[in-house]
Amino acid sequence: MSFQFPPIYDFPPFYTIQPNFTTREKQLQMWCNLALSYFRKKKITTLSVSESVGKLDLFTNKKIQRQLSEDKIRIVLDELVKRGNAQWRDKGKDSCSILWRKYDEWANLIYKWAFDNGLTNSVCTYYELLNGDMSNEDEFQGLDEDTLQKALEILVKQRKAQIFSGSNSDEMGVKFFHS
Amino acid sequence: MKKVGIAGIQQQKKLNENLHKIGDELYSQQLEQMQAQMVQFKEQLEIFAKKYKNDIKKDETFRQNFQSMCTSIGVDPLASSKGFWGEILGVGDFYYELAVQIIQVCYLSRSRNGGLIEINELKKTLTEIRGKKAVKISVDDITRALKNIEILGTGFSIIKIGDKKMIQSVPRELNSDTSSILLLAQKKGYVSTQQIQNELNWSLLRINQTLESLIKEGICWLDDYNGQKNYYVACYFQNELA
Repeated sequence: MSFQFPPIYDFPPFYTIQPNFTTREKQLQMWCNLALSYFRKKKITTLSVSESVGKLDLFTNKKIQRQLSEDKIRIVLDELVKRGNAQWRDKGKDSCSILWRKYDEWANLIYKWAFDNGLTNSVCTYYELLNGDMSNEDEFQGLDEDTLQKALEILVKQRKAQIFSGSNSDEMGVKFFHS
Repeated sequence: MKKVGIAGIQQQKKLNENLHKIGDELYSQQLEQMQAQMVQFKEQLEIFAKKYKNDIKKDETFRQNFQSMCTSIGVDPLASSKGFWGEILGVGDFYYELAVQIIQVCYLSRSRNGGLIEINELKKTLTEIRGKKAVKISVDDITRALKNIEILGTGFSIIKIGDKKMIQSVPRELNSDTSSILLLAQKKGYVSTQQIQNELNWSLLRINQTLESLIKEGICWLDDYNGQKNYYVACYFQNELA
């Protein structure tokens, strides 16, 4: 699947960590947003820094001949970890798991979707959610059962949903409430 | 034949008085006529404005021409949104709304471009956020909208560097050295120490100080590649906000 890079991707200074504090914050924020939408689109959930450097087009722009070095990739990933969108898998900071959306973001998205589709006060099974209309929508791409479970648990805590358990995972269901 | 003596002087005086009288009459007649013309003209202008209300609202060139016509006869349709013109055209609101959008765009992009944005780039972003259905806007509209909010002392100013018009949303004075660099950077979108030395023949100290202040202000981004340092002016980069 081809990914449409934003214009900032072709801006050479984007690949130099900026000396000005405010500019650098903005730069890292833009890197995080770019990386997350890239990972989402390409369905990347784990990343190895040493294998990505110089290869992954996200960090290497051949057109303007700029790339992020290993150190700089780590700076971006560290920022993602700080935001709760990634987790280091080893102490050497090479392998990294990526969370495209934080659980509470998924929770909000799911609840909004259920609300917009008039599903509040009715029961849906996990299977329906993961394989039905919701799964056809672009923003729910990559939502798996684990993530769904964690997101729904957040909604339960917010008293926006109740989970019904069946004998196996296919029979797990949820009821969304009007808030 | 000219008369001499007292009788002559008196006659001359009378003649002058008469002339004055006639002159005054003529003058007041003219004034009356002119006033009547102005009233008629204003009426016609109102009729015109009412008739072409939609064109004025929708067509940016037409609006600009109408504006300049009004300005040349000393009528300001923007003077108040509650005034007659505002009621007919709703233009007062249009410019206030636009001004609010300009402020939003400028503030949001500030951390990227140091509060400096090229007017055409601003227009492009504004057009995008206003959506397809909204009235098309021109650079002239942006200038007018900014003039409208000048009174609030918001610190917005329009500066000219070379042939580029930029909106500055941070209250500060760019000194002449900074302006020279910003002008030089228009050639390629960036400058390097070497290039400044070649073109402006400045001392290294002066160059470094100016570049440092541009970085500090957030106007320039540093590109450090293979030991070559280039300073990019963020707001010259096309589509930077898209």
